[in-house]
Amino acid sequence: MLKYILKRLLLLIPVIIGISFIIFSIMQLTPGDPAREILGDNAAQEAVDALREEMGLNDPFLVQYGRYMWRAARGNFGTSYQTGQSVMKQILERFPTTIYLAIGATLVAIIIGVPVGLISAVKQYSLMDDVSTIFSMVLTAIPNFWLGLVLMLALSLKLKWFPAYGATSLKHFVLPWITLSCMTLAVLIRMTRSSMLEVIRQDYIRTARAKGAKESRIVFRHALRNALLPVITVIGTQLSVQLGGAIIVETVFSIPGLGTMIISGIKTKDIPVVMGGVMFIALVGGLVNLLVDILYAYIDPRLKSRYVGTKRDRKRLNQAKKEVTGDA
Amino acid sequence: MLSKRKWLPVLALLLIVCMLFGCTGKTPEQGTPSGGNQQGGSTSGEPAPDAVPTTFHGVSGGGSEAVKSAKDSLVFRINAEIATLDPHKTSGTGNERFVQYQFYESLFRIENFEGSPVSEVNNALCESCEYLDDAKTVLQVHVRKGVKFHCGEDLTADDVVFSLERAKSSGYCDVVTNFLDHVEKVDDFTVNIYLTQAYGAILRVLGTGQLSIVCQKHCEERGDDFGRNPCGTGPYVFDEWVAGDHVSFHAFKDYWRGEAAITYGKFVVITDNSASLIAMENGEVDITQTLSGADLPLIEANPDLQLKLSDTACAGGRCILFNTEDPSGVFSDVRMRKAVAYAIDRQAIIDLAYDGIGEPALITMIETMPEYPTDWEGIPYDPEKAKELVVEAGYPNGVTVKIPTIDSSIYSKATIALQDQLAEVGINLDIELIERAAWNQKILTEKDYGITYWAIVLDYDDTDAALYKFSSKNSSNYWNLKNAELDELLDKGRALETGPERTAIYRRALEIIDNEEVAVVHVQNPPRNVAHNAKLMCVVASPEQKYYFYNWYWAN
Repeated sequence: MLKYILKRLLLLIPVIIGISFIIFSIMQLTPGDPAREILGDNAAQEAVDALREEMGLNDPFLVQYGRYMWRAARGNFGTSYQTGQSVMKQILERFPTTIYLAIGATLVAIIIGVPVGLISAVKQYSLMDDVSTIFSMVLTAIPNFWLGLVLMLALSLKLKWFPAYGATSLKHFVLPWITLSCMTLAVLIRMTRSSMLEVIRQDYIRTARAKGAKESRIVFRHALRNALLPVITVIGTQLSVQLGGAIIVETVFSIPGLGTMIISGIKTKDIPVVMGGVMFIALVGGLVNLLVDILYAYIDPRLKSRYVGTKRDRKRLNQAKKEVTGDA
Repeated sequence: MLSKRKWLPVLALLLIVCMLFGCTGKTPEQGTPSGGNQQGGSTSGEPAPDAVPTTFHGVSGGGSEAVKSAKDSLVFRINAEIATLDPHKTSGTGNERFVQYQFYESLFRIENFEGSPVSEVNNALCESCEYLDDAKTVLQVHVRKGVKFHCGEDLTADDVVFSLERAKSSGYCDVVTNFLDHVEKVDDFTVNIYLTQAYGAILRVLGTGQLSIVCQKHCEERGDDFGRNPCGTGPYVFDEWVAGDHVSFHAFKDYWRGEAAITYGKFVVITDNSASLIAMENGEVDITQTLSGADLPLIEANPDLQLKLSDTACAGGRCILFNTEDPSGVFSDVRMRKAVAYAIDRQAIIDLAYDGIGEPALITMIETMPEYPTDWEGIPYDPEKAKELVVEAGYPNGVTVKIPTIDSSIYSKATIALQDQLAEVGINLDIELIERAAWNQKILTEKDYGITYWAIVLDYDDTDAALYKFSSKNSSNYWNLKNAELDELLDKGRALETGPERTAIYRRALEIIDNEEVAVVHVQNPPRNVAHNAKLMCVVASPEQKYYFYNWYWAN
């Protein structure tokens, strides 16, 4: 297992380097002068030119990229052109908010999506099934920014239940969580339903029924456990997507997360901020996926046996293999 | 399969992660100390310390009267994140300035008051000043005594010298430090400011945010971190900055004009205008600046809110810019530039792009400037004349030109209206929507354009600031305009103080820029708008966006 984890971690390195190269190239190739953005519209061209030179922006592309990566390899993501602050410091200031937003939204989606999908599968073609199908289709179609504003109007302005902006207390996160969870919720309802339907028709479920097991035991103990395996994979993927996809929700609700930081960096050509932010999200996304894979292996005994086992298990396995070979 | 025992750690892990990362902030009520004294203003029984010497054109006034504020907090919405609180590392008039005006003061203070369209230049940290020579190149400033910085240090001449020299060495303040040669300390409360040449608007320049006075000791101790730990002499003391979320502050008890009526508050970042409006209506935000035209009727319809439009236009007029050395050759011909000027119906553009708000603009000047010619007529709307000029310029079948436009509704809507109007006279615009940063590089740095649309924002409200951009000696001459007579006039004008001679000089300069060379065609002078809780008193929509919370209080 450890070998597998190390292998996956090593594989992250070329992924991060690839992402960094693409982002750096995009930021360099798109027009816009960071020095002009720093000094403002009215700055004299001489001052802009001097700052460009000072910042090393006149160096060749590969020199700039190499310099950046050399620093990044040592954990230094550079200094923001706009704020003069360490990018790593800015990321660490904002990352908790983004992860809180993403995890909260994922939890909301799990808490609602899995039971709804389950009921939908168990009561296939019932009214409940139809309603949940339509519900998930609507959720997929609703744009985040629109839903955010509608929730704000209804639950904040009219009912005064929640604040309209900010991220200073649990209450502030309720509307963003609901907004951000929509897409994941729709995916989870559909995935849980289809996965359950697949499992529920398998022979071992029929056997359990034939043996007279209670329906609730069949659903929760026998069917749901197997049906959840692909759902867990989806949850992991969605969590990674939400880390990067929280940008719109962060903007609508004025939440100071990584998304708003990156958007602000793009607008002002703050290359270190954009690079640092994107690389950090990619790294976290990679780690979340790795975590999900480990969790997956941990949950599914079939996968677990590939990676985990005591010396005695492995001895027995080898012995069994030898016996089989010997018999042959 | 998954047993209960295996599920529990997974769920527990998720919950722990949520709780760990969730405990990030404070509630808005926390961490904002409130002052006990709710008396505002400085005038209780003491002579007004900010009286202005008669030698200069500033008018005394302002500051909050001794009033009892019904509420002691304020939430001010800004529409973008701020980068730094270091006044010498902030360019122009962005959101940073809203915050910095509360923490810092300059030698002079530029203020707007209700019913008075022209902003006033009042003494702030300067007690009095006078020129030491007839050429008006050495300004002696007597620094106000008894002023304390937030860190407890006393304000002295050393701080003034340090601050002005620091600003001068910063590329961010280039526009306002061009005239500063050097600054010398005479004694503990006197400094001599040596100018590179006489400059009529020097007091206004010394009142800009870029030339704020900072505490030398604190600034040197903090080094690069000063931008996150500001220390000035202003009426409010910095408390906390949560990046992208808010900056909180409280009233400075030892402020030289007396403690402010509103004793604590915060700036909150809400980028989305609709969300900001909901927060206003919800009572979560007390005041917001620069709402879109579509939101203004909603504010007006709400009795709990009040909308204020500035009496005069802001120094950010929207206009059509020409490159007089257009690489395509089209707009290097003055007849084509004139054709555009004749072809546009300004009111139609304002109605379409700006919801009918703002006045049509004809001139490179705003009415708050003393040299503003009230009888100016400019080039009228005359499409027939425009058509003739296009034919005369050699385009009988019309011409198609690219117009790089910033991808923002402020610019794009107006450009679409322009497209329709210019097509009528044979000038077909091919709109090229680009990001602001790309536009800045293309137009301001590379000057690679023939025609474009923009809003020129001035660093300070003076005729020289508006017109000197057109001098061929200025690297910010985005028009590539080269006119010897104009250069001479602009050099003469900037050395003079307000008076008939300066007015005459600038009138001629305007004739060259707007009527003869037609380097720019003005479209709209927008007023600044500010929406606030109706109980918040003394708020004036400032064309220069200078908002001093010290002047405000809450009514019952």
